[in-house]
Formats: sequence, C-alpha cells, structure tokens
Amino acid sequence: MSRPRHTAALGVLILALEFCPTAALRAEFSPPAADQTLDVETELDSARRALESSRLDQAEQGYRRLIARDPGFADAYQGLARVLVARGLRAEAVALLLQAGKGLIEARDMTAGKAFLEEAVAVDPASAAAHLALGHAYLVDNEFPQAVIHLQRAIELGEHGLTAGIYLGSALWENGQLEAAENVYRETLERHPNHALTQRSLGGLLLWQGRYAEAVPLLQRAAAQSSSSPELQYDLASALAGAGQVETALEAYRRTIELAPDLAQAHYGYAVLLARSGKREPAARELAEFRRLQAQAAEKTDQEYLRNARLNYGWNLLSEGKAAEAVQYFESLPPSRDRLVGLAKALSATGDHRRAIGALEQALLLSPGDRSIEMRLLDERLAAEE
Amino acid sequence: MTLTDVAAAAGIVFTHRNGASPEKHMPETMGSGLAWLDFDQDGWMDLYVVQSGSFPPDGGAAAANRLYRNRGDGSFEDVTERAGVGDRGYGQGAVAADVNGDGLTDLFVCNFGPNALYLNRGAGRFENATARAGVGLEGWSSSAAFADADRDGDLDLYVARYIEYDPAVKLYCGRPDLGRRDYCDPSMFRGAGNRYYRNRGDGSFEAATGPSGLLENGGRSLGVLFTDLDADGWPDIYVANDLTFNYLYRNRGDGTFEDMSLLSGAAVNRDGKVEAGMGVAAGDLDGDGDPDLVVTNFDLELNAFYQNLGALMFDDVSAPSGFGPPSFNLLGFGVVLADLDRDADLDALVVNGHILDHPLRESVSREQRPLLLLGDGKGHFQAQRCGPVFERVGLGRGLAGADYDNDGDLDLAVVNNGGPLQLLRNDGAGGSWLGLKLVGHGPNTGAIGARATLVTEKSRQTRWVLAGDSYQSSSDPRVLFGLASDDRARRLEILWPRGSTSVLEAVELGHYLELREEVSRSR
Repeated sequence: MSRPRHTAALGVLILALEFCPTAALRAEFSPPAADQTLDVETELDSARRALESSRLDQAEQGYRRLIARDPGFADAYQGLARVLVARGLRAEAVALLLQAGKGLIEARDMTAGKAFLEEAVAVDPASAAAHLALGHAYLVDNEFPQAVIHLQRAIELGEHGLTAGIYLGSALWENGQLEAAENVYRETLERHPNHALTQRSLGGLLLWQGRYAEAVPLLQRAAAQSSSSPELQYDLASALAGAGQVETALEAYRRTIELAPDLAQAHYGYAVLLARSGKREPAARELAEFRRLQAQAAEKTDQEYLRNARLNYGWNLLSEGKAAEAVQYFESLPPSRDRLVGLAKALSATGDHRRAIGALEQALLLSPGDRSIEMRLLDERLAAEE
Repeated sequence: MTLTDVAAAAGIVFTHRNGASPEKHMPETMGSGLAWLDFDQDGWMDLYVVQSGSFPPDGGAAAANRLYRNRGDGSFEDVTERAGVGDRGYGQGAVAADVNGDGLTDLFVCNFGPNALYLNRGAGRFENATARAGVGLEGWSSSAAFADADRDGDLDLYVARYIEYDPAVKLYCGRPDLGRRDYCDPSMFRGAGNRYYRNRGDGSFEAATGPSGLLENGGRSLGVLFTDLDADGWPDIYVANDLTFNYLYRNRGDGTFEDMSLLSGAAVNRDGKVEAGMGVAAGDLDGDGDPDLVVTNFDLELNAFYQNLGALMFDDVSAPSGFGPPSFNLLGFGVVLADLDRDADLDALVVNGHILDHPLRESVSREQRPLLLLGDGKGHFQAQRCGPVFERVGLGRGLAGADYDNDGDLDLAVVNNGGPLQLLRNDGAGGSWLGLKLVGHGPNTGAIGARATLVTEKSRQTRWVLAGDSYQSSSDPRVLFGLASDDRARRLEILWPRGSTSVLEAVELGHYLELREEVSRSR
C-alpha cells in the first residue's frame, strides 16, 4: 500500500465543495461526522477493495469517512474520484483530482501532485483545465518540454485565459524557444491588452534579449498598474538604462530602492548608471551597499548547503545499512539539532536505544516543542521497553 | 567553413581520465586543458594535453600528461617519455611560454596538488625546474597566464586557483530522496586564493601576491587573462570566478595592481548577479581597437560579452549582441575568439558540458554540443553549425586554437572530461590571410603582450599575443588575420611589449611572416 498522502491545502476542499454547482456532487458531499476512532489504514484498504469489486456505495462511504476525519487526505480524494468515474461522473472526478493535485503541488509534493494531475488528464483527455494544471505543475518542477506539451494542449482545447498564455510563454522561454515564447506572449497580450501581467511578461522577455527600446513601453504600462512592485520597477529601470534613457532610468532605480532597500541588484544598476553619468561619489556609495547586501546573502547560502551536505552523508550511510559508521560520522559533526536527530536514528539502528534517547533529549533542549523530535523520542522509549 | 574531428587520423589517441568515483569528488568533473607550442622550433605547432588520473591523486602512470609532436604532414607522434614532460599530478591546466628567455617554449602545469614548471632544454627534452623556480604551490590550481607585468623584459606568472577542497571531508550532495549523489556546489567551499609570481630573471620566481595589491584569499577562480585592457602599456589581470565577483586588476605600472572589479562593470552581469564563470577570452569584437571580454558561464546564465568602453569600464552586452542567449541551456567552459571563417571578423567557439551527472533542469542535458558564434565585426553574433562536430555532444572543458597545418586558418583541440580529445581541423574557410610569428627581444622572446594591427582597404583588425586564456589552456601564440579575397593589406603595425613599434607597408598575404623586434624578415 502506498504511503497515504496529505496536504493541509486540501482542508479547504470541503468548504469549496459546499458551493459546487453540480447538484449531484453537492448531495454526495454531506460529510458524515468525523470518527476519531477510525483506523485509517484499515478503512482505506477496505474502501479500495470495495471499489475494486465495484461496491461503489460502500467505497464512497469509506472514502467520505476518511475525508471527514482528515480533510487533507489526498489518497481519499483520489479514491473518491475513481468512484465518480465508475459512476460516469467524469467532470466531477476531474474536479476532485485537480483540487487534490493542486493541493499537493502547493505543499511541494511534486511527484504525488503530478500523479494526480496525470490521472485527471487520463480520465478526461479533453479537459483543458486538467492540461493547464498539469502543464503548470511541470513548469514549477522545471520539466519544461512536458510543460509545453500540456499547456499547448490546454490552449488548443479552448483555454484562452491569461494564465495559460503566461505559463506557456514561460515554458517555451525556459526551453530556449524564444521566438515561440514571444509569439505566445503577443497573442496573450492581444487578448488581454490591459493586464499588467501580459505586458510584464512580454516586456521581460524582450528585456532579457537586450531589446531594451521595445521593452520600455510595455514595462511602463505594467509599472503604471503595479507601482508598488520593486521587481517590476527594477526591470523598467534596467530597460530604460539599456535604451539610453538615463534620467528616467535613474529615477526608476531610485524608486526601486525606495520600495526595496535590500534589493542588491537595484543598487548595482543604479551605481553603474551613476558612474557612467560622471557621479562617482554616489556611485561608490551604491556599490558599497551592493557589496554589503551580496556578502550577507552569500554567507547564508554557503553554510546551509554545507550543513545539509554533511548531514546527508550520514543519512546516506544509514540508508546503505552502515549504522555503526553512521554513528561515528554523526558524532564527528558539530553540535546541532539535526546532527543529534541523525545520531539518534543511527544509534537506534544499532539497537542502542538508551543512547538514542539521550541524543533526542539533547535535541529537544536545542529545539523545544519540536513535535517530530517528541514523536521520535516516544518511539525510542517504546522500543527501549521492548 | 567546416570543422572536422581528425584526432584519430592524426595519431592522437588521448582519453581524459577523471578518476570518477561514487564519492563524487569535485575535481573529477572539472578538468582538463591543453597547450599549443612549437617545442622543437620546426615551425609546426605541437600539442601538450593535460591528464588527470585517479582521485585522490596517486601519481601513477595513468595520470601522465602527453606531448604530441607535429610531424608536419598532418600527423602527430607521442614524444612524452623522450621529452620527460609527462607530469603525473592530477592535472588541470597548462600554459606555454618562454619563461627563461632562452628562445625555447616552456610549460607550466596547474594541478590539484603541487604545480609544475618544465623548462625546455632543447633537443626535444624538458627539465622539471619547479623547486628551483619556487612555483610548486599545493592546492587546487586551475588556469594560469604569463605576461611581463613589470616590463622588465621577462614573463611574470598569475595562477588562478579554485577552492579549498579536502577529499577526506565527507559530503553527500545531490538528491538523497532519489538516491542520486552528485557533485557539490562550489559555494560550500572557500576560494583557494590566487597567486602572482614575479619573474626574477634568473630562473626563479618571487611570490608577490600581497605586496602587489592582489587578493590572496577567496575567489574560486577558474580562468584568467593577463593582458593590457586599457592600452596604457601595462598588462592587467582579469579572472573568471565561480559564484563570486570576477576580478579585474588594473596594473598601476609601479609593481602594484588596483582592484577595479566592481567599478569596471565586468565583475557581475548586467543585473548585478554573480555568475559561475569558467573560461575567459579577450578580443576586439566590435572593431574599435580595444580588447573586449567574454566569459563562459553556467546554464540558466548567459555567456557574457563585456564590451570595452575604455578606461577599464565595460558594459554587459551579452543579450543585445546575440552572444549570450544561445548559451542559455548550455554550460560553457573553453572559449576561443578567432576569425574562424576568414571574413575579417572575430568569431567565438565555446565548448560545453555539464558538471552534474543529473542537471536540475530537464531542458539541460549533461553532455552538450559546442557552440559556434559567427561575428560581424561590430559586436553582433549569430549561432551557426558548421559540420557534424556541432551535432556531437560531450563534456567539453579545455579548448585552444592553433594553425597546426599552417594553412592559414585556425584549427582547435578540445579536451572532454572523461572522454576523448578532439582535434578539429578547419577547412573551407574562404578569403585570404596573413600569419605573424612575433619574436621579441629577450627574455620575452615570444613577444607576449604585443599588439598587432592590420589595416586593409576594407578593415582594421587588432590582435594581441597572449600566453594563457580560455579554460585551463593556451593557444598558438602566432597571430592570424583573415581578409576577404578582394581585400589588400595596406599597413601592419606592431606595438611590442616594452613600447617600441614596428610598421610595415604593403604586406604580402597568404603566408606566415616572422617579425623580430629589431629586424623584419619574411618566411
């Protein structure tokens, strides 16, 4: 049985379904009272077996009970969707799978989320919404060729909303298909000429290609609607600078820095333009600020990567069954909550539950109220008693 | 113009060994380079290729670098053992130059481990002079370059060093959730700090980094240029760094350098972002007579074209020039700027290949094809493919050019990480040409740092003589100009490294001309 998958984002689904326009679906979703004594694994298994043997009412009740107990239980939504398919309610099934899939994507469980969305597409290959959701998921997960396929299909099936065009343009851009991306952005802009996002997307692409003069009017229109966006102001400043509109660019950089004083790149762009305008002292000040902000960001990333890589080495030893080696390794690392958790796991794997408890107690001192450590401590104490 | 891989036919069978292991040590994925030199002075360019071997390094025979002597008939012979130049360090880069002023080209080798200097003793033999020279620094060196920084006549040395890496430190990078171990991010490590050595003129070098005003720590440096960027006669230093500001040091002319990195505009990209710089090259890409800079960068970053605005100010024109966007999904290493198609405009060839076994983006592959960009002489480029070489993917690293068949067009050699060396013979280039072999007044007999300007009826082209550029490599020091078939050379101007000039009128095309700093003669 696969590991049950959860997402807190699905918790809103019950509320959303109360407003679902499909009467049949609304009737189906009068949730039973939550039963906190429910054995989840057994109930899930029972519902699955009922579905497999076409006992649809029993299966549906089972899935509904699971959802009532845990509104974030994605596997239950998947099961319920399959019941709906069996009843011929494909549109409702797709809606459920989309909601579940999107919830998992939001919770960054990309693999599971995409699986749900793939299933939605399989249930109804003519669903533009399903292709759009799946295409977006691939885009978020850096799988650009797949994103392009599904987003193009969504548009072919009639999805002409703003987001489809923006997502497809992004996917094409990331895939290196610049001309195609520009065409999509232009088509989207024709359909939504006054939307800041379409103006900004096309403007951003032109800026990236160094077509500054073409980018300026688009970014100006977008910035007029979203005057509080520092990123947009920055893009505009950059385009103006590239197009040789120095004074306007300087003003745009100033505005960007007012909105986001910690945006390092704005200080840099401003400094370069000041220097080229002969204003060396203010340029030097801006460069100093840029340098300060850069150093801060760099140090944080370096330490995080290094820390994770060192911990992962220990976890990998454990996954290879080298528990004793993992104990020695974790003991050699600098003290930290994560190092103690790893050490506890390694000690537990060697059967030394007493020392594992000690490590977890120390970890809890470093991270008071940490529920995951408390649960591990409970497990170790139970294991020690056995 | 077409480029054809003729390595096997030419008798060069070299496979780079990177020592790849499940431990994913970073040096495994970074090497290596090569150097072109005419070590036996027979007029034919020979090839020195750097081998890496097992990691951690064990000094075994499998790690020995190779020297291939050009027979002059399109084929090469391996003369490594006879020459005594098969350094067994875990090799990274190499640069060729006459270090001791005896007229013979020497070799400096960058290693993970102690670097090495091999002095050419003539009669086809080299001597390891590292200890006496004082340049055998340990640590991880990547690229090096020579120039007469203090204009005392001999060549000084700058070594770009990467990171402080200890193979005994256990790290697991990649995707442990998928069971995929991969190479670590360099941002986790401190830069190893570069080194500058002043040539004492007696076969030894003096460590002079700090006293010269150059940074001794940090950097994560991979590529270096040592050439006069502001036309004041003093060689400056430009370094491509990985995830740190690129360095630009202005030579003050008094033995010290000034850090102009951020002010120059060539330290970061147009958006102020540091990039993962690997290879570096300089050339007059926009036809205004000064050297512009290019840096090869990571995927999702554009290869950079920094246009020289004068006074050591540069403008990032990577995007509007067309130089950058074709590199978006490629990870660039070695880069050569040359007039490959002999139309009088500089072109660029970049070799690519990822460092990770599993690149993070699906649109980026591990093995990648080379990228050819044809220039228009005004700073604009268009990507082209000229032959099956451009459909073949690999893990390109070192790249250096040489007219090894002396037919007036630039050929190239590529080291692929963990793969075969490619010898790309250039054929079919149109137009006419002029080659220069510049011989300087000793000890800088290679005239490193000289500037050659060819004025024709239709163009004005400027070239510089360098020792070390690209990635971990160094190219044929001879200068090659390409011209349209109906063009005529009017005047050739040479600015020698110590400031004297030579001018020749009505130069004959289609051959190599040897010019000496005092006397000119045609060959």
